[in-house]
Amino acid sequence: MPLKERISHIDEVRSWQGSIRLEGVYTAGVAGERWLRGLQEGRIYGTRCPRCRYTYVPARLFCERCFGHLDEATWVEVGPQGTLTSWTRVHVALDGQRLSPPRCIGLVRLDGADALLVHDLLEDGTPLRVGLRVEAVFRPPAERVGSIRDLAYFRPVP
Amino acid sequence: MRRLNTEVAIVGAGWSGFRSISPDLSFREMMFEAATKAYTDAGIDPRRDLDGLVTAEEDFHEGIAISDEYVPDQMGAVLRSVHTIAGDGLQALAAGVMQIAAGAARIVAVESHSKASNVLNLDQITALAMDPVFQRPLEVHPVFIAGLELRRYLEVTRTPIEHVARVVVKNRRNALRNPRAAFPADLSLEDVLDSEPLAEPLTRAMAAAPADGCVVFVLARGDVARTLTDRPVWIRGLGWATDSYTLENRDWEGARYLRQAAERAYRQAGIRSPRRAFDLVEVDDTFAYKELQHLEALGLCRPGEAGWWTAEGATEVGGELPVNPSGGCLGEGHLLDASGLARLLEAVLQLREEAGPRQVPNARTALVASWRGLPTTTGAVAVLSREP
Repeated sequence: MPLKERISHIDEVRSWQGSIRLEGVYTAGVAGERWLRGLQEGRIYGTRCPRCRYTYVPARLFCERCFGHLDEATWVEVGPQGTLTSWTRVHVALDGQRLSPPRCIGLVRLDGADALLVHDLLEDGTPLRVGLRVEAVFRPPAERVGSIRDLAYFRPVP
Repeated sequence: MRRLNTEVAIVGAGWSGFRSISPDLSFREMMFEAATKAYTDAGIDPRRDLDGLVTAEEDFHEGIAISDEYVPDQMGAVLRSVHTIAGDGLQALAAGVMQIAAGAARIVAVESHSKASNVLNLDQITALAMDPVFQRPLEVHPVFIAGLELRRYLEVTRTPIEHVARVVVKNRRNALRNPRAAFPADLSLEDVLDSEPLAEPLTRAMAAAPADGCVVFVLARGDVARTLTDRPVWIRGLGWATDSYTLENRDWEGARYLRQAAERAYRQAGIRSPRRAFDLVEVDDTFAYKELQHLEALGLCRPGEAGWWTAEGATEVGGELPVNPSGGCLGEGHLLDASGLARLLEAVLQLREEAGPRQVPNARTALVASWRGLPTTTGAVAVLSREP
């Protein structure tokens, strides 16, 4: 049993530090590709399952509720305005360091959608509350690359 | 799922830790220590009696690719059937039970461990579990999910944040009477509410800190169990479920994954009124609000009731239904993939009346519920009893 054989002097403890390098590409897929191209054009799309009457954002090729295929005809444009469902200020960075100022993140139900989209939320002094009307703000067209970050943030509707 | 075809009991339990750091032991030695205790407790010789081993672990937590290959030696399971679950330890328990119920084994060991102190960038590893196309590019610490969910929970259930803080005070105080607990403390509500914000309204004290430890159980088929011990703990029901993994389409309010898992486990165990069915509950409290949300999902109280119930002291040891007498993840420390087995360990000790100063008097049935942690939507439930 190691109970009796534990290392009791800290200077005897040896460890080896290593890191794992993992590189890959992540294929957005048929629906993901088209959805991200939509963001690049400043538009937010969803796919609406006609059976479940549920609109997915980002658009998906399949409905998780009825397992149906969501084809061309199911694509709809949603937003750019929506309603704040929840929000938080994150005070810690990915490396564990304190984040100052904190980063404000919103959970938004875009008009016409059932799904909730997560993104940065601009704090412009408007008191944040669940139910607040917000709108999507895109990066300038020249800066867009077909990424979730083409959507810069949500901000309270003035 | 109906009633299990075969009776299965827990006949041995062992553990190593739990501690905030463990530089004196490798993860293999922690497993060896916990396994030795569990086999001694069960009165078996693994090289003679063990048919199989089920472990729960995650390569990224181990820092080793295909890390499931690294488990048999220190468990006495070389050249036995070895099965690793990427999930919470309670899902490994389920796999072990199924092997016995299927007739594939008589005696099975179930193991999970955490060497969280060896992981230098745990937050970043959790962030790697986010969707690589739609969320990872945002580069936000995944605790934002807990912040959003907590606010949603407070909003929908009208629960005051003080009731969430009360969970932390209760669980870390319970941990004062638990020698396994890594983080016992006597805190005030203000200590919890005023600790530094992580993801508002979640504070640092409302989040369980990771700890190192290992938990091992020995499972046996009913007839074998009766020959091994006179205090078997019977597994009466099991369920597990995963909600939509997307942040967009998951349930943000009621921990649907656990409600579903509980319904299955209750059906198997023949439980119709869960509120009156258990003498104690060990439930995931990775974030303090999760204990409240999970109690409601388990059907132990109505949505929005858990906070008030907690504030009234109903979930204290000595209350109407003790919840997390061990101290939970908040008090014991979060054992990563082993956190469900840590909850199970306390339930088993309680049902064997071996819980010392935190013993719930005359505990005959217990409910255990786990969550796989951020950013997952997976939960598992086990119903345990002193009677088969």
